[in-house]
Amino acid sequence: MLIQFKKYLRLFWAVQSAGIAKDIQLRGNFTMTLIGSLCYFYLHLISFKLIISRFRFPGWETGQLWILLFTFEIFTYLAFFFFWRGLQHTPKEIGTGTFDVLLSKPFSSRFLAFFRNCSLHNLASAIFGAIYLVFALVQY
Amino acid sequence: MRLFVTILQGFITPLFLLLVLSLATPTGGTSVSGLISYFLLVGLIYPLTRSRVNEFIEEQTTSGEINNFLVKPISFYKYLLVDDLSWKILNLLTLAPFIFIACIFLLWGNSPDYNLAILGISVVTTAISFLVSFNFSYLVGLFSFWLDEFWAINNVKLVTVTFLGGVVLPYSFFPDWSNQLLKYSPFPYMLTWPVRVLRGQFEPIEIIISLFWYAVLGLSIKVLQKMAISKYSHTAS
Repeated sequence: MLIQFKKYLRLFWAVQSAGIAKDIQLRGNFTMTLIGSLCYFYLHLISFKLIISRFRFPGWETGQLWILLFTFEIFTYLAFFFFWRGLQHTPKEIGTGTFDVLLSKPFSSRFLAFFRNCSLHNLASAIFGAIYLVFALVQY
Repeated sequence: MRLFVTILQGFITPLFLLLVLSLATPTGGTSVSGLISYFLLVGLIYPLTRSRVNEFIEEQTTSGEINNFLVKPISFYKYLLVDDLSWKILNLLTLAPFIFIACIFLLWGNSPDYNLAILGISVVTTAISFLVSFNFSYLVGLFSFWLDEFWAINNVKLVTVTFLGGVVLPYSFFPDWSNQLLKYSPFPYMLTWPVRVLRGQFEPIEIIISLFWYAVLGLSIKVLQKMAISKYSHTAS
Protein backbone atom coordinates (compact mmCIF):
# COMPACT_ATOMS: atom_id res chain seq x y z
CA MET A 1 0.00 0.00 0.00
CA LEU A 2 2.75 2.40 1.07
CA ILE A 3 4.87 1.40 -1.92
CA GLN A 4 1.94 2.05 -4.25
CA PHE A 5 1.35 5.44 -2.58
CA LYS A 6 5.03 6.38 -3.00
CA LYS A 7 4.94 5.29 -6.63
CA TYR A 8 1.93 7.49 -7.38
CA LEU A 9 3.42 10.37 -5.40
CA ARG A 10 6.56 10.16 -7.53
CA LEU A 11 4.44 10.02 -10.67
CA PHE A 12 2.40 13.01 -9.49
CA TRP A 13 5.57 15.00 -8.84
CA ALA A 14 7.05 14.03 -12.24
CA VAL A 15 3.89 15.12 -14.08
CA GLN A 16 3.59 18.35 -12.13
CA SER A 17 7.25 19.35 -12.45
CA ALA A 18 7.12 18.73 -16.22
CA GLY A 19 3.96 20.86 -16.46
CA ILE A 20 5.44 23.67 -14.36
CA ALA A 21 8.67 23.62 -16.42
CA LYS A 22 6.59 23.96 -19.60
CA ASP A 23 4.57 26.83 -18.14
CA ILE A 24 7.72 28.68 -17.05
CA GLN A 25 9.34 28.24 -20.46
CA LEU A 26 6.44 29.98 -22.21
CA ARG A 27 6.65 33.13 -20.09
CA GLY A 28 4.43 35.33 -22.22
CA ASN A 29 1.63 32.78 -22.05
CA PHE A 30 2.19 32.27 -18.33
CA THR A 31 1.94 36.02 -17.65
CA MET A 32 -1.26 36.20 -19.68
CA THR A 33 -2.82 33.19 -17.93
CA LEU A 34 -1.81 34.54 -14.53
CA ILE A 35 -3.56 37.84 -15.32
CA GLY A 36 -6.61 35.91 -16.55
CA SER A 37 -6.67 33.89 -13.35
CA LEU A 38 -6.00 36.77 -10.97
CA CYS A 39 -8.70 38.99 -12.47
CA TYR A 40 -11.37 36.69 -10.96
CA PHE A 41 -9.45 36.62 -7.68
CA TYR A 42 -9.52 40.44 -7.49
CA LEU A 43 -13.12 40.61 -8.73
CA HIS A 44 -14.09 38.53 -5.68
CA LEU A 45 -12.01 40.74 -3.39
CA ILE A 46 -13.33 44.08 -4.66
CA SER A 47 -16.97 42.90 -4.85
CA PHE A 48 -16.69 41.52 -1.34
CA LYS A 49 -15.20 44.77 -0.05
CA LEU A 50 -18.08 46.74 -1.63
CA ILE A 51 -20.71 44.37 -0.22
CA ILE A 52 -19.41 44.42 3.36
CA SER A 53 -19.20 48.22 3.20
CA ARG A 54 -23.02 48.25 2.65
CA PHE A 55 -24.17 45.15 4.55
CA ARG A 56 -23.45 43.60 7.94
CA PHE A 57 -23.74 39.86 8.44
CA PRO A 58 -25.10 39.05 11.92
CA GLY A 59 -22.80 36.76 13.89
CA TRP A 60 -19.82 37.45 11.63
CA GLU A 61 -17.00 39.93 12.32
CA THR A 62 -15.41 41.68 9.30
CA GLY A 63 -12.12 39.83 9.90
CA GLN A 64 -13.87 36.47 9.99
CA LEU A 65 -15.54 37.25 6.65
CA TRP A 66 -12.18 38.07 5.06
CA ILE A 67 -10.65 34.88 6.42
CA LEU A 68 -13.60 32.93 4.99
CA LEU A 69 -13.11 34.58 1.60
CA PHE A 70 -9.36 33.90 1.42
CA THR A 71 -9.86 30.30 2.53
CA PHE A 72 -12.45 29.97 -0.25
CA GLU A 73 -9.98 31.42 -2.76
CA ILE A 74 -7.22 28.98 -1.72
CA PHE A 75 -9.47 25.94 -2.01
CA THR A 76 -11.04 27.11 -5.28
CA TYR A 77 -7.72 27.69 -7.02
CA LEU A 78 -6.22 24.48 -5.61
CA ALA A 79 -9.23 22.58 -6.99
CA PHE A 80 -8.62 24.27 -10.34
CA PHE A 81 -4.91 23.43 -10.09
CA PHE A 82 -5.48 19.75 -9.41
CA PHE A 83 -8.59 18.86 -11.39
CA TRP A 84 -9.43 21.48 -14.03
CA ARG A 85 -7.30 20.27 -16.91
CA GLY A 86 -8.28 16.67 -16.25
CA LEU A 87 -11.98 17.50 -16.19
CA GLN A 88 -11.66 19.66 -19.28
CA HIS A 89 -9.53 17.35 -21.43
CA THR A 90 -10.83 13.88 -20.52
CA PRO A 91 -14.27 14.13 -22.22
CA LYS A 92 -12.63 15.64 -25.33
CA GLU A 93 -10.02 12.87 -25.45
CA ILE A 94 -12.66 10.16 -25.04
CA GLY A 95 -14.55 11.75 -27.94
CA THR A 96 -11.56 11.98 -30.24
CA GLY A 97 -10.00 8.65 -29.30
CA THR A 98 -6.75 10.08 -27.89
CA PHE A 99 -7.66 8.76 -24.44
CA ASP A 100 -6.15 5.47 -25.62
CA VAL A 101 -2.72 6.93 -24.90
CA LEU A 102 -3.57 7.15 -21.19
CA LEU A 103 -5.16 3.70 -21.16
CA SER A 104 -2.00 2.14 -22.55
CA LYS A 105 0.18 3.50 -19.70
CA PRO A 106 1.10 1.15 -16.82
CA PHE A 107 -0.65 3.33 -14.20
CA SER A 108 -4.22 3.96 -13.12
CA SER A 109 -5.84 5.80 -16.04
CA ARG A 110 -8.19 7.60 -13.60
CA PHE A 111 -5.20 8.95 -11.70
CA LEU A 112 -3.44 10.07 -14.87
CA ALA A 113 -6.63 11.56 -16.32
CA PHE A 114 -7.40 13.71 -13.30
CA PHE A 115 -3.99 14.70 -11.93
CA ARG A 116 -2.39 15.60 -15.20
CA ASN A 117 -0.27 18.62 -16.06
CA CYS A 118 -1.83 21.23 -13.75
CA SER A 119 -1.80 24.94 -14.54
CA LEU A 120 0.81 26.97 -12.70
CA HIS A 121 -1.28 30.15 -12.78
CA ASN A 122 -3.91 28.47 -10.56
CA LEU A 123 -1.23 27.49 -8.04
CA ALA A 124 0.10 31.07 -8.11
CA SER A 125 -3.43 32.37 -7.40
CA ALA A 126 -3.81 29.91 -4.51
CA ILE A 127 -0.47 31.19 -3.10
CA PHE A 128 -1.78 34.76 -3.42
CA GLY A 129 -4.84 33.66 -1.42
CA ALA A 130 -2.58 32.13 1.25
CA ILE A 131 -0.53 35.36 1.53
CA TYR A 132 -3.72 37.41 1.94
CA LEU A 133 -5.00 34.88 4.49
CA VAL A 134 -1.85 35.29 6.60
CA PHE A 135 -2.26 39.09 6.44
CA ALA A 136 -5.92 38.79 7.48
CA LEU A 137 -5.04 36.46 10.37
CA VAL A 138 -2.34 38.88 11.60
CA GLN A 139 -4.57 41.96 11.23
CA TYR A 140 -7.74 40.56 12.88
CA MET B 1 -31.65 24.99 -25.38
CA ARG B 2 -28.95 27.60 -26.08
CA LEU B 3 -31.58 30.33 -25.75
CA PHE B 4 -32.79 28.93 -22.43
CA VAL B 5 -29.22 28.72 -21.04
CA THR B 6 -28.44 32.26 -22.27
CA ILE B 7 -31.47 33.65 -20.46
CA LEU B 8 -30.96 31.56 -17.32
CA GLN B 9 -27.28 32.60 -17.01
CA GLY B 10 -28.23 36.19 -16.28
CA PHE B 11 -30.26 35.19 -13.23
CA ILE B 12 -27.97 32.71 -11.45
CA THR B 13 -25.38 35.05 -9.87
CA PRO B 14 -27.93 37.73 -8.80
CA LEU B 15 -30.12 35.01 -7.28
CA PHE B 16 -27.28 33.74 -5.09
CA LEU B 17 -26.26 37.28 -4.16
CA LEU B 18 -29.83 38.20 -3.18
CA LEU B 19 -30.18 34.99 -1.18
CA VAL B 20 -27.04 35.84 0.82
CA LEU B 21 -27.92 39.53 1.19
CA SER B 22 -31.43 38.68 2.45
CA LEU B 23 -29.67 37.29 5.56
CA ALA B 24 -27.61 40.47 6.01
CA THR B 25 -28.43 43.84 7.58
CA PRO B 26 -28.08 46.91 5.30
CA THR B 27 -25.86 49.66 6.74
CA GLY B 28 -25.25 52.05 3.84
CA GLY B 29 -28.75 52.96 2.60
CA THR B 30 -28.94 50.07 0.13
CA SER B 31 -32.00 47.87 0.60
CA VAL B 32 -32.41 44.27 -0.56
CA SER B 33 -35.85 45.10 -2.07
CA GLY B 34 -34.22 47.78 -4.26
CA LEU B 35 -31.64 45.26 -5.36
CA ILE B 36 -34.32 42.69 -6.30
CA SER B 37 -35.89 45.02 -8.88
CA TYR B 38 -32.43 46.03 -10.17
CA PHE B 39 -31.18 42.47 -10.64
CA LEU B 40 -34.51 41.34 -12.11
CA LEU B 41 -34.21 44.01 -14.78
CA VAL B 42 -30.51 43.24 -15.34
CA GLY B 43 -31.43 39.57 -15.82
CA LEU B 44 -33.99 40.55 -18.46
CA ILE B 45 -31.89 43.16 -20.29
CA TYR B 46 -28.45 41.50 -20.08
CA PRO B 47 -29.24 38.80 -22.71
CA LEU B 48 -30.22 41.58 -25.11
CA THR B 49 -27.17 43.80 -24.71
CA ARG B 50 -24.23 41.46 -24.13
CA SER B 51 -22.11 40.04 -26.94
CA ARG B 52 -19.85 36.98 -26.90
CA VAL B 53 -18.67 37.42 -30.45
CA ASN B 54 -15.03 37.34 -29.25
CA GLU B 55 -15.37 33.62 -28.44
CA PHE B 56 -16.65 32.93 -31.96
CA ILE B 57 -13.77 34.89 -33.53
CA GLU B 58 -11.31 32.88 -31.44
CA GLU B 59 -12.86 29.58 -32.59
CA GLN B 60 -12.77 30.68 -36.23
CA THR B 61 -9.18 31.91 -36.00
CA THR B 62 -7.82 28.87 -34.17
CA SER B 63 -9.55 26.36 -36.46
CA GLY B 64 -8.71 28.31 -39.61
CA GLU B 65 -12.36 28.52 -40.62
CA ILE B 66 -11.96 32.27 -40.86
CA ASN B 67 -10.42 31.53 -44.29
CA ASN B 68 -13.98 31.07 -45.59
CA PHE B 69 -14.54 34.77 -45.00
CA LEU B 70 -11.13 35.99 -46.10
CA VAL B 71 -11.35 34.41 -49.56
CA LYS B 72 -14.91 35.59 -50.22
CA PRO B 73 -16.19 39.14 -50.68
CA ILE B 74 -18.10 38.98 -47.39
CA SER B 75 -17.39 41.38 -44.53
CA PHE B 76 -16.58 39.31 -41.46
CA TYR B 77 -17.73 42.17 -39.22
CA LYS B 78 -21.10 42.55 -40.95
CA TYR B 79 -21.69 38.79 -40.99
CA LEU B 80 -21.07 38.51 -37.24
CA LEU B 81 -23.13 41.62 -36.50
CA VAL B 82 -26.15 40.24 -38.35
CA ASP B 83 -25.68 36.80 -36.78
CA ASP B 84 -25.50 38.25 -33.25
CA LEU B 85 -28.43 40.56 -33.97
CA SER B 86 -30.60 37.62 -35.02
CA TRP B 87 -29.94 36.00 -31.63
CA LYS B 88 -30.84 39.23 -29.87
CA ILE B 89 -34.14 39.41 -31.73
CA LEU B 90 -34.88 35.82 -30.68
CA ASN B 91 -33.99 36.72 -27.08
CA LEU B 92 -36.20 39.79 -27.29
CA LEU B 93 -39.18 37.77 -28.52
CA THR B 94 -38.77 35.35 -25.62
CA LEU B 95 -38.21 38.01 -22.98
CA ALA B 96 -40.73 40.58 -24.26
CA PRO B 97 -43.68 39.46 -22.05
CA PHE B 98 -41.49 39.53 -18.92
CA ILE B 99 -39.97 42.91 -19.82
CA PHE B 100 -43.48 44.23 -20.47
CA ILE B 101 -44.69 43.10 -17.01
CA ALA B 102 -41.54 44.53 -15.35
CA CYS B 103 -42.11 47.88 -17.12
CA ILE B 104 -45.74 48.01 -15.93
CA PHE B 105 -44.62 47.54 -12.31
CA LEU B 106 -41.73 49.98 -12.67
CA LEU B 107 -43.56 52.79 -14.46
CA TRP B 108 -46.89 52.43 -12.65
CA GLY B 109 -48.27 55.77 -11.42
CA ASN B 110 -46.23 58.01 -13.78
CA SER B 111 -47.81 60.20 -16.47
CA PRO B 112 -48.31 58.52 -19.90
CA ASP B 113 -46.02 61.10 -21.59
CA TYR B 114 -43.19 60.38 -19.17
CA ASN B 115 -43.66 56.62 -19.56
CA LEU B 116 -43.62 56.83 -23.36
CA ALA B 117 -40.46 58.96 -23.28
CA ILE B 118 -38.72 56.53 -20.90
CA LEU B 119 -39.74 53.51 -22.99
CA GLY B 120 -38.58 55.21 -26.19
CA ILE B 121 -35.21 56.12 -24.66
CA SER B 122 -34.77 52.63 -23.21
CA VAL B 123 -35.31 51.08 -26.67
CA VAL B 124 -32.68 53.43 -28.18
CA THR B 125 -30.22 52.79 -25.32
CA THR B 126 -30.71 49.01 -25.64
CA ALA B 127 -29.77 49.23 -29.32
CA ILE B 128 -26.71 51.44 -28.63
CA SER B 129 -25.67 49.23 -25.69
CA PHE B 130 -25.71 46.16 -27.90
CA LEU B 131 -23.66 47.93 -30.59
CA VAL B 132 -21.04 49.19 -28.10
CA SER B 133 -20.92 45.76 -26.46
CA PHE B 134 -20.59 44.05 -29.86
CA ASN B 135 -17.76 46.36 -30.95
CA PHE B 136 -15.91 45.85 -27.68
CA SER B 137 -16.25 42.04 -27.92
CA TYR B 138 -15.18 42.08 -31.56
CA LEU B 139 -12.12 44.15 -30.69
CA VAL B 140 -11.16 41.76 -27.89
CA GLY B 141 -11.76 38.81 -30.24
CA LEU B 142 -9.20 40.19 -32.69
CA PHE B 143 -6.47 39.58 -30.09
CA SER B 144 -6.89 35.85 -30.79
CA PHE B 145 -4.78 36.46 -33.93
CA TRP B 146 -1.81 37.09 -31.61
CA LEU B 147 -2.52 35.12 -28.42
CA ASP B 148 -2.50 31.37 -27.83
CA GLU B 149 -4.09 31.40 -24.39
CA PHE B 150 -7.11 33.42 -25.45
CA TRP B 151 -9.26 32.30 -22.50
CA ALA B 152 -7.11 34.56 -20.28
CA ILE B 153 -7.96 37.74 -22.17
CA ASN B 154 -11.56 36.52 -22.37
CA ASN B 155 -11.57 36.27 -18.55
CA VAL B 156 -10.19 39.80 -18.25
CA LYS B 157 -12.87 41.07 -20.65
CA LEU B 158 -15.68 39.25 -18.85
CA VAL B 159 -14.62 40.45 -15.40
CA THR B 160 -14.02 44.05 -16.52
CA VAL B 161 -17.25 44.35 -18.48
CA THR B 162 -19.55 42.67 -15.96
CA PHE B 163 -18.02 44.42 -12.93
CA LEU B 164 -17.57 47.90 -14.36
CA GLY B 165 -20.78 47.51 -16.40
CA GLY B 166 -22.87 47.16 -13.24
CA VAL B 167 -23.91 43.52 -13.75
CA VAL B 168 -22.14 42.11 -10.68
CA LEU B 169 -23.13 45.01 -8.40
CA PRO B 170 -25.15 48.17 -9.08
CA TYR B 171 -23.33 51.50 -9.25
CA SER B 172 -24.87 52.52 -5.91
CA PHE B 173 -22.29 50.20 -4.30
CA PHE B 174 -19.38 52.05 -5.93
CA PRO B 175 -17.68 55.09 -4.38
CA ASP B 176 -18.72 58.46 -5.87
CA TRP B 177 -15.27 59.20 -7.35
CA SER B 178 -15.32 55.94 -9.32
CA ASN B 179 -18.85 56.62 -10.58
CA GLN B 180 -17.70 60.00 -11.86
CA LEU B 181 -14.78 58.39 -13.68
CA LEU B 182 -16.84 55.49 -15.04
CA LYS B 183 -19.37 57.89 -16.54
CA TYR B 184 -16.80 58.80 -19.25
CA SER B 185 -15.74 55.18 -19.92
CA PRO B 186 -17.56 52.80 -22.32
CA PHE B 187 -18.53 50.32 -19.58
CA PRO B 188 -21.77 51.90 -18.28
CA TYR B 189 -23.09 51.95 -21.87
CA MET B 190 -22.60 48.27 -22.59
CA LEU B 191 -24.87 46.09 -20.51
CA THR B 192 -27.02 47.81 -17.89
CA TRP B 193 -27.65 51.24 -19.40
CA PRO B 194 -31.33 50.49 -20.32
CA VAL B 195 -31.90 49.28 -16.74
CA ARG B 196 -30.77 52.63 -15.35
CA VAL B 197 -32.94 54.44 -17.92
CA LEU B 198 -36.01 52.43 -16.86
CA ARG B 199 -35.23 53.31 -13.24
CA GLY B 200 -35.25 57.00 -14.14
CA GLN B 201 -31.46 57.54 -14.05
CA PHE B 202 -30.83 59.04 -17.48
CA GLU B 203 -28.85 62.09 -18.62
CA PRO B 204 -28.94 63.18 -22.32
CA ILE B 205 -25.12 63.57 -22.38
CA GLU B 206 -24.87 59.79 -21.99
CA ILE B 207 -26.08 59.35 -25.58
CA ILE B 208 -23.16 61.46 -26.85
CA ILE B 209 -20.61 59.61 -24.68
CA SER B 210 -21.92 56.20 -25.79
CA LEU B 211 -21.87 57.15 -29.48
CA PHE B 212 -18.34 58.51 -29.05
CA TRP B 213 -17.22 55.14 -27.64
CA TYR B 214 -19.05 53.26 -30.37
CA ALA B 215 -17.10 55.26 -32.97
CA VAL B 216 -13.76 54.87 -31.14
CA LEU B 217 -14.22 51.10 -30.84
CA GLY B 218 -15.30 50.89 -34.49
CA LEU B 219 -12.16 52.73 -35.65
CA SER B 220 -9.96 50.57 -33.42
CA ILE B 221 -11.53 47.45 -34.98
CA LYS B 222 -10.73 48.73 -38.46
CA VAL B 223 -7.06 49.36 -37.61
CA LEU B 224 -6.56 46.15 -35.59
CA GLN B 225 -8.35 43.93 -38.13
CA LYS B 226 -6.08 45.24 -40.88
CA MET B 227 -3.01 44.45 -38.76
CA ALA B 228 -4.39 41.02 -37.77
CA ILE B 229 -5.21 39.88 -41.31
CA SER B 230 -1.88 41.10 -42.71
CA LYS B 231 -0.15 38.86 -40.13
CA TYR B 232 -2.50 35.87 -40.47
CA SER B 233 -1.50 32.72 -42.29
CA HIS B 234 -3.05 29.25 -42.30
CA THR B 235 -2.15 26.00 -44.00
CA ALA B 236 -4.95 23.51 -44.50
CA SER B 237 -4.20 19.96 -43.32
